[in-house]
Amino acid sequence: MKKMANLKEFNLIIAGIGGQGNLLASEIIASAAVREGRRVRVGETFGAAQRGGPVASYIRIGSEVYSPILDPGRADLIVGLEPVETLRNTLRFLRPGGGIVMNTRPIVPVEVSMGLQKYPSLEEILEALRRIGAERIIYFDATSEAERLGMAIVMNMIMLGAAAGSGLLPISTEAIRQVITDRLAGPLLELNLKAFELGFEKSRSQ
Amino acid sequence: MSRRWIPPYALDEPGRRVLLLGNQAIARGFLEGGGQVASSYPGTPASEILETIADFAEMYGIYAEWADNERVAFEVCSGAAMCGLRTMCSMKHIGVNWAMDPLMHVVLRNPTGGFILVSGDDPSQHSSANEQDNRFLARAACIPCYEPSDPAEAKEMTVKLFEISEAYRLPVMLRVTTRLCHVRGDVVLGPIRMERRKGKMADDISWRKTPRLTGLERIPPQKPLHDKEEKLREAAESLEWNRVEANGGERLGVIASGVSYNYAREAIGRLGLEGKVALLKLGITYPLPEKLISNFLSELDRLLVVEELEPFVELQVKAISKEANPKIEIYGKLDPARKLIPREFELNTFIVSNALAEFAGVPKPVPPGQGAELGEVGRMVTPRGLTMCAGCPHRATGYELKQALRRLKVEDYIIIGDIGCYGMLSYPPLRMIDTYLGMGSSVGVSQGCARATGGMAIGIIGDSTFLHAGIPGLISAVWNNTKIKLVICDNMATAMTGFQPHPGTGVTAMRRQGNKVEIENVVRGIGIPCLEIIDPYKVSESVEAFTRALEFDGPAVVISRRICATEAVRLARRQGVRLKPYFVDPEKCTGCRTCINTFGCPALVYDPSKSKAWIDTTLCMGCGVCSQICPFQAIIEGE
Repeated sequence: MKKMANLKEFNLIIAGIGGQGNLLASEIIASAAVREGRRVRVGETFGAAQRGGPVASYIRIGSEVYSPILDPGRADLIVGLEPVETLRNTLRFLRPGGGIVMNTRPIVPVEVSMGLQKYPSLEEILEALRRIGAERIIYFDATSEAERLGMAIVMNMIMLGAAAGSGLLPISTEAIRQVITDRLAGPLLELNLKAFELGFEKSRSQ
Repeated sequence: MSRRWIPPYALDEPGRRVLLLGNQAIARGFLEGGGQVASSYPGTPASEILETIADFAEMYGIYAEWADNERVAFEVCSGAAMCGLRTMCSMKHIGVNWAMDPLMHVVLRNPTGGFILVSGDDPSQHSSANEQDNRFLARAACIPCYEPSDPAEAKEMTVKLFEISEAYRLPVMLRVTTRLCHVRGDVVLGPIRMERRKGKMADDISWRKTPRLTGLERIPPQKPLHDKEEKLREAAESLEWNRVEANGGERLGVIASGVSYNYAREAIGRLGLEGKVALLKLGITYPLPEKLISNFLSELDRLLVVEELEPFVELQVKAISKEANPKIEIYGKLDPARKLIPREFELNTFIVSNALAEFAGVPKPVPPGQGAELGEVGRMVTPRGLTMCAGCPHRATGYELKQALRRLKVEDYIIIGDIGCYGMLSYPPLRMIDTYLGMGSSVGVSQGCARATGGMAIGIIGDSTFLHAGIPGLISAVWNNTKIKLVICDNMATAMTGFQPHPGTGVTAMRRQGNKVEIENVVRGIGIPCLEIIDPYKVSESVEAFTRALEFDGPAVVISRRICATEAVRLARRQGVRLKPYFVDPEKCTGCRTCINTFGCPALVYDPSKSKAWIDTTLCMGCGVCSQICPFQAIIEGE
């Protein structure tokens, strides 16, 4: 965890496509920041944008933060739930030297399957992320890990754990765990906490 | 029903700081302000306001409902307000178009209960077919218009607006935008007002109680309404939501309202213009605090007005400046030579920083890492459009309609869509919707197309949208015997706005059992001569039914009924039912891509290295439609 007593502005993006659990992940991080007494703004898009389209949550933490929208080149960390969505947001928003935590499992647009568009390879994406100026890139197939846990939808919790394990968040891991524990119940809580810890360890070992 | 986790907006813990969505903060303001009746129709970006109120309604003795359209919702609230209860009617910007008729009347009725109309405007059309600035509608109705800048202020405003509305006996507009509705921010909870009034129509509202002289006195005059506006103009001067942020002596100024204030404030900080640029934040934009603005203008050489969509504040400030400071140069949207703020799309700090830099004559900010050498990377980023979910019954409905049209060799046809997820039938590979207008308009517009072209005109409308606004159009088609074909896609939810129930589901906003309005009973009651009801997951039967409806010589309706796939997945998860994804048998798959090119479910993926299709099991929910489409029977149900 980055120690910042007088945090002025920290910008995080959680990027994915509709249905990947992006909004819950961002709500948990932002609630953890509020729990730690921070000023927080989270901008998101709902409605039509959910339907298989790109969805990004902009989480802004710090005393100088007012706007719910992030400006180009100002993201400190991008958590990408899907490779091309990671690249799309990195290109537009990552500041030089920023960090990336990425799920490498693609969700292929119909136009690609129809042969109308091309989907880049993982190698091409990683090279592009570095060219844009990403300093630290943590990546693994979080969907496969989630499937091994028995439920593909906990991928978002694995990625949340990976973000915490990267050490790039200005929030304590304990606060995030606490919010997850408050928010979920029963066997679902157990599974989600397990997913969180799995992502945390995956990320620390990279 | 006991539950372990109480959401932060429902907590009775004054003083606690929690994270709330803007819409939840407005709902919380309703609770803290003693609201008793809420009615709405779902529409992005405003839907979560009523959802949140409905969530805690039982707990706090409040009534919350979905009405079947915004006009009805507004009428319900008008009735409650005329009987003295505090009430809120929330809707998206174009919903207010529907409510305009009763709004123009209730402003003359002196309701005794606090009455807040929430208009959720959508700059940049995130989930809307147009941009529309509803501050002009507040102006047209002579009601005040308040614009909060963040969730915390939205909650405070809501609480106070009940008092203001009651003091003036006039509905008020809380005008919010997507970036207020859908931003989460830290909010401090206040005490919950537990007063519960018993409704009663005031004697001066009820005509039973007023003596009857000529009969004409029942038509309320406009003059008292105009008098209220004058008093509201004076009261605006001392509103706490208007604020000047300045050191004194600045020659440049910015006026910003609502969410735009955040961008202006960040831009001033980022460009280091504190002490050089004074900022006036407005929390009310109609009627304006004219003295406050006159004083602000009198010290300035130049002014920049920062607001989203129409130059609503700028127009009024220009008029004020005539007397306050005729020499002042006003920048914004109106004067072509001084146009620094775009009239279309939403703003952000970057846009406002650029405008402010030009306005103040300082260098424009350059975003780091945006060099031209990254163009190559940009071309690599695969575009991703909207699509219907895997297993969406609308995709199957569209495919089957298309097959029937092909079978009958109908070439001269027009398809008019409507407002809902099925609008995405216009994207590849189906590409079958020609155009659409507003809610319910597929029914009327297709009639015009049929009359004009003499060809086949088909309307595609959802269940919730049909019940909202489609019924009068269908009555007209039956009456005039206009031979349209109407496809009602009944997925048993208002899916696009977040799966709210509607009259066809029989479940109410507060999750109680109401009475179910059967769509087929409505259609039969109107007297439609040809009605087919299909399950879109059964491909060949559905194609047969579409064929019969298309061949029928007269207006025909096909109800295509199947629960929304996303809801089905959620239900299965809740009930512990394991869904069985399908898979492609690589021995049988020839790589012909018929499944992808004619149907295009996102779970169907083509692997160019093997020249075969495969199914992404994280997306497939087992609807089985593609297995009925594959010409080689290569798609098989999983174990």
